[in-house]
Parts: sequence; C-alpha cells; structure tokens
Amino acid sequence: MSRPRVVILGAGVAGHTSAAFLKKWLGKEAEVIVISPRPDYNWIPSNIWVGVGLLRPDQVTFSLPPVYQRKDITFHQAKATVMHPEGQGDDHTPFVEAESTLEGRAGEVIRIPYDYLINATGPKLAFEATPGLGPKGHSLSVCTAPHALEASLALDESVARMRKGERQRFLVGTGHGTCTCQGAAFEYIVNLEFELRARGVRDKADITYLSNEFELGDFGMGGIHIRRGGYVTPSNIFTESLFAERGLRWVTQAHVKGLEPGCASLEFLNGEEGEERFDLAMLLPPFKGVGLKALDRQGTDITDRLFAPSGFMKVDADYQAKPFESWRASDWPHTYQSPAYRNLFAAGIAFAPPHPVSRPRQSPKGTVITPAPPRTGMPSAIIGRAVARSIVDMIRGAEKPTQTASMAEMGAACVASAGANPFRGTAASIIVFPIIPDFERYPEYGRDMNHTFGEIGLAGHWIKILLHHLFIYKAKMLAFWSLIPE
Amino acid sequence: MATEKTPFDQGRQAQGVFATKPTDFTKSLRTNILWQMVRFVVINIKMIKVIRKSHS
Repeated sequence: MSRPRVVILGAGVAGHTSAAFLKKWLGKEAEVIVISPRPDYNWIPSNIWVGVGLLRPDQVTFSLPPVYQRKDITFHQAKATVMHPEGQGDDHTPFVEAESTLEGRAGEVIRIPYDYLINATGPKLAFEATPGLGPKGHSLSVCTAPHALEASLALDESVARMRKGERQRFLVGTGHGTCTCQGAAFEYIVNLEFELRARGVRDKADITYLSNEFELGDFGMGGIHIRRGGYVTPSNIFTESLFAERGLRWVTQAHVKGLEPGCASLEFLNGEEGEERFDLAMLLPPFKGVGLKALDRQGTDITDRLFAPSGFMKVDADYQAKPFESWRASDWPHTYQSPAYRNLFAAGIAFAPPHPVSRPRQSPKGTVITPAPPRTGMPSAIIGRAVARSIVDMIRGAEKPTQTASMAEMGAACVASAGANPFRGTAASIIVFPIIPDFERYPEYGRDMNHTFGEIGLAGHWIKILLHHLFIYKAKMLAFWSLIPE
Repeated sequence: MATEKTPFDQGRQAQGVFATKPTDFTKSLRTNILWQMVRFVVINIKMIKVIRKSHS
C-alpha cells in the first residue's frame, strides 16, 4: 500500500511550518510534498532592514531545496494553478496542477496527486489594483527581498541628492484603501527616519505616512488598548506620539486612486480628493488570493464554492454577511478545514477572513477605505502547525481535525523595529491577546488587559535581532529546531 | 539663524502640537543599557506567557 501524500502549496511561514512539522511527526509514514514558485525561504519581517540598506537580501533568505532534501521532503519549484479535489473522470484521486517555474522548464504542467492538501499560498501582491503602484510603476515595496533591495538602492540615491543640498519628500504607507500590513509600513517609516538621521541628512527630508487606517495605530486590528502610566490608553495615542517625536507627518483615511511619477492621487473617507507629492514612495499593495482555480470531476468550475471573491479559500468560518455590531469572535475559523472537502485545508494568509476587524467604512463614492485584517507571522505559524497536527491525526484514523487555532483565541507577539542599532536602536514590543477582539469575553476593550502590552525601547530591538536569528535557524530545520516556539 | 518653515513643517507642527511626547527622562530610559536589560527579561516573560497561552 502506498504512503499517504500530503501536498502543501506555498513555502512561506504557514506552509513551511506545516511541512516541517508534518515530516517531524510522520517521518516515513507519509510523503510530504511542497510546491512553491520560488526556491527561497524569506524571513519577511527582516525585509524592512534590507529596505533601508542594513541587511543584504541573502541575510533574510536561504535556499529551500537543500533543506528539504536533507529532511526527505519532496520539493517542486512550480506555481499551483488548478485544484481537482474530486480527481478527474473515472479517477477519483484528488490532484493539483502546477506550472513549473524552473529555468528551462517554465510553464511545463505537472500533476501531483494528494491525500491531504494544505493551501498556504499566501497573498498575491495586487499592485495592479492601483494604477501606477509598485516597482513596475512609480513606487517601491518591501514585500519581497528583491523589492526591498530596490527600495534600499533608491534610498541611497535620495541620500546622495540630500548630501548635495536637495530636499527630498518621502511617502510611506498603504497604496490602496483595502490594504493590510500597516505594521510593515510603520516599521519602514520609523527605520527610514532613523537611517536618515544616522546618515546625517534628516534635516533635508520631509517624511509623510499615508494610510487607509481611520486613525493611526489601527493596524487592521481595530487598534489596541494598553495600560500605561496609570491609564488605559489607545494605540493611536502611542503611534501619534512616536510620529510627533520623530517629526513625521501623517495622512489617514486615504485611498490611493493612482500614482504618476512623483505624485499620488488620493480619495479620502469624507469624499474629498487630494494629492501627495514625493521623491521616493514606499507604498504597500493590497493582498488578494493567488488565483487558484478548482474543478470537479466532470471539469466544472467550482472555484466559487471553494474560494471567496477575494481569491482566499473558504474554511470553517461564519461567512454570513452581517452588520459590524453582530460580528462575533466565534465567526473566525478554528480548524481551517474546507467545508467542501475534508482533506483540504488553508493556512496563513490563504484562508478567507470572515470579515475585517476594523470597522468597515466607505467614502460617499462607495470606495472602501478599511484596513484588511492581518494574519501574518505568529498566527500563520501557529495555524500551520495546528493544521499539520490535525492531518497527522486524520491519517492515523481521526474522523475530523483534532486541533484548533482560532485567531480569536490566540495572542500575538509583535516586535516593530523603530531604528536598528545595538546601543541606540529601539523597537516597539507589542503583545495582544486575543488577536481578534472578543467583546463577549472582554466587554470593555475586547482583549485581555493582563496580557495586552506595549513598550518601546532598546530591549525590543535586541528581541527583534534574537527573533531574526532564531526563526531563520528554525526554518532551516537545524538541530532542536522544533523547540523554538512559533 | 532661523530656518524658513516649509508647508510640510507647518503641517507637521500642527499635528504634533496635541500629540503626547516623551520627556527626556523617558527617552533616556529607552536606551539605558541596565534598564533595558531588565525590560528585556520582563518583555520576554510576557511574550512567553502569551505564546504558551496561544499554543494551549
């Protein structure tokens, strides 16, 4: 009898964590197969430091094939395109189609059968949602290591101009009304400011933060409250304080309609329009699903059944449309199993959130200007591990998933760098529990105030450095890697 | 010599006027090595508690 096959689409935080634990727990009992269009693992949180020239891309990435070979995990460098969860025709074996991205074999279609499938494809960086957005347009990004390198080179050029006496305008933030990952934009702008000071040209720079958040400090999580100095204080107070202290200007409630060289056209929540001029813009794109299709046995397109319109995969969440006041923490998924197929799961950014966390808002023209909920980093890894454990148990006879990892029942520890230097650097250490506010359990603030915390200081920077090395070590699956928590 | 205020500076000042700002003492604590060593331990303990709670 052949071994069960577990196929994982994607080798980011969620997919790679799933693959690593599946292999650790199953050993030779099952075949673990990873399909990813890129052969490298990227520790994305450290891309910020590549983007300001403090790290090289090779310090935040490593090659996956040798790691997978060492651990007996099969790797296909390919882009998954079509899922066949019922098989095809008379053959009932589910399989996935993928197009090779290997040099010399690009476009070649491979078919990989599976017994269990984890969709951990992460996001498509939807630069096309805003005309002129992105490295192929008129702005930069730090979403991938090559993008971050490009941002760093552009920064060097700006610094050279400032050294000649020119003023430079920097615009950092979100490039669309529905963006997520404001934390990355926050980290980039404060690191940029720190770096300009370190290079002695801060007085020549006008730096503006541009965001789709209703107010600073929302971060797509509806903001957080922390106890500090005898008060329970909302995160917008802290974020404004950080920006004011550093002389950063901010523009919120903004959707970027389009970019032209040196100019971003904006639409605001109140219906007004405006523009921001810049010499260097680092604007994050909105995220969408990667565009996987699904076909049934007869070849009928069932993509709508498996995926939300955003392209993210539907799992065991409550997707019923309802007003903001009716949202519940329990709407969020627990097992990440597809309601349509018991052997199909989504982990990390690939699952469709049931609704935003921040209150949804739109301009009088109907433009949605609301941050999408974040599900990167720690939650992605915890979800990846929980899904892996459920699959292991199902392979061994369990009828249904045995593990839950609801974002409404887990916390997140986030360290946002605010300047990289072992003695003068700082970082904001933020702990939030739970990630998705639960106003039934914690009626006043939606979160457990004994576990929700924020502080800025050098200690945070040391923790950020420690995490960088620990998580890259763990991802390389070196000795005792599984002892490092997600 | 006072430098000329650009429109950017004026906008920035208007926003910053009502923002909470740290005192020099608070800022010095942020990079005080001894104090930050203590905070390093405290923050790590807090993080470990939440990590354990999230894995249970």
